[in-house]
Amino acid sequence: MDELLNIVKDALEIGLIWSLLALGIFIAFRVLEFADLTAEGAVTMGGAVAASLILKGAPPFIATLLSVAGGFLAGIVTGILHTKLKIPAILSGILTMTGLYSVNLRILGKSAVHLGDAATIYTFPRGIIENAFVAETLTTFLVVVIIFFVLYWFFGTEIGMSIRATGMNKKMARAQGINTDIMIIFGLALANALVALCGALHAQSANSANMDVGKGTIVIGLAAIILGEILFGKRSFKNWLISVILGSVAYEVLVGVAIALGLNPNDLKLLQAILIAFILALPLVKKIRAAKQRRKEGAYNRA
Amino acid sequence: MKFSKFFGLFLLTLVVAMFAGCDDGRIKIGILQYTEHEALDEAKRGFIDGLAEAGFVDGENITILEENPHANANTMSLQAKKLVRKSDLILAIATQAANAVVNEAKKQKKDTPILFTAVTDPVDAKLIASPEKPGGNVTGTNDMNPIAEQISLVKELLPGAKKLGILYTASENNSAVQANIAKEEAEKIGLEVTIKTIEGVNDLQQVAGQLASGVDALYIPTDNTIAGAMGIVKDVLREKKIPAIVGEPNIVAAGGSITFGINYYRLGKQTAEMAVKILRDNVNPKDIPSTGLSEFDLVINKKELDEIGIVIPQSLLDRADRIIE
Repeated sequence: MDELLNIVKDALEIGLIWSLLALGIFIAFRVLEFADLTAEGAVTMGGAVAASLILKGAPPFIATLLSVAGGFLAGIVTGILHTKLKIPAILSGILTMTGLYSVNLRILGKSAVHLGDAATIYTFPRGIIENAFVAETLTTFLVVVIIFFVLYWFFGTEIGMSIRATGMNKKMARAQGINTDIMIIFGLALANALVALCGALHAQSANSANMDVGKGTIVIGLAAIILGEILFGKRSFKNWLISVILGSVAYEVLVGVAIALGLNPNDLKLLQAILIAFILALPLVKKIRAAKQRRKEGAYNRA
Repeated sequence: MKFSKFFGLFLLTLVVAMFAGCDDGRIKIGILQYTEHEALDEAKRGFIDGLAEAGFVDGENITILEENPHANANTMSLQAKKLVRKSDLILAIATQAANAVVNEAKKQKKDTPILFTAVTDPVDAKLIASPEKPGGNVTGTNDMNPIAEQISLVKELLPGAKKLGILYTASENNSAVQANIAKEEAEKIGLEVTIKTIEGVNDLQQVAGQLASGVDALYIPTDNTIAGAMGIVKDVLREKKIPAIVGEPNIVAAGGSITFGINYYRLGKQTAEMAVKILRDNVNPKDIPSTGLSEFDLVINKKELDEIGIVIPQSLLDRADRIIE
């Protein structure tokens, strides 16, 4: 039973940090219906900015805020590439992600930096709460709760609604007088700001930042979103947001189980890809089945 | 429907609890290897063999828990947590893994002995205070190359050489450090140095070709990107008829010409000696100085040098630890 408790504890600590990434990817992929690959660069950028600023002596809070600003800018670049220069969505993201590699390397100065004993946003809570797990998880939880309320409030405002409308039906949104280009740019900026926040918190929790952090993060985010939707539903926007956060924790539980069972995490990647492909294909399968059903009923009616 | 989903998840976790809960009473050695890499694999093999020679055999009196996140940050955090929780001693292979384990041990407030290997500069990585006095529960072996000796191979192989080209990947900090030392050493023995960097595998052929046209020999440090694409360099060397002095034996085997470099298997064994001191003699890690290899391997790729048309001096052949025919 100890093992089980540990898996859940680890999943909470790590899953809450990565839920910020999942929320960012949720905004791009689900709300905006925009297949944005910027995230792989933005998460590395968040870590790079936060870690190098902290090493230069910046207060951790300021370093975190600036890394969020970095992610925001990255999202704007992708948005402009897509809306103003008419580059396809996937390619815009890939271009920004590729460019960010050089930028991140400049920021870090080398392929990895280590924080050592430098103060992070977790230093203060760890000073007042004896148990490091409780201190860190509580801090991340607070951040996630704040982000949740901000997002919930924001997507209920006129701008937020306009972003959602843009994602649902661009032509209709434009007919309502919404400037869809601005909404896409702003939505992507918001998404990548969250992704960068995830990178900044991860770097401070792991006490280091490196160029590899971004690898495969989109799949992690998507898996969390889909897992959340299956397990906890998407009945309302609020419910959907909570599902994404819990989905991220559930995903880490699954990885934890795989590790505890001694599975190779590389095999897990394939399972992940199959699961996501399967779930993405579900609507099509349902459509085909419905069509078949209709044909059958049609035949029955004629007879 | 909803209920069954949760039930499935619950069942899955229960299975784990049953599987992973058993304890066999043996000493548990955790190994966290950052990623799949020939050199890192060899270091791990050397460590396990070294332990076995000292009487610590996996499955008999010790249990080895092995984890490899394949360079994935998310997985590595979870694996580091598991290893710190369960192990009596941990080996971390490569800097990232060492950092993850040390950070996690601090969080769990455990002073489990932690050994690292294949870390180029453990002081810069803030793993230890100084090589002589590591200071905490962490010590291990570094994989710094004998760059001065490697550069002197240029003159031994080609006594008439005047110009040396140094090639590495711009993003690899480790390579940049080595390239700068190599430049200094080369200038000391009167070589004119040109340094060129690549962005990645894509521009390797072009940059290597350009560089090779204007020099008598190439120097390539332990650069991961180039190491993984030595086939391209090999063709360039054959075409331009010049040799490449490289950072470590695996790169020679992959198409380089010669090296005086680290044997990662032996480095792993040296790390195992530290583990034995801790496990058997109860020495505290803080009293075990962090070291590098003292003996290196001279490895010559005779096949490629013959292809290029360079006659290898007998003095080198006599000293070689390994000759690739």
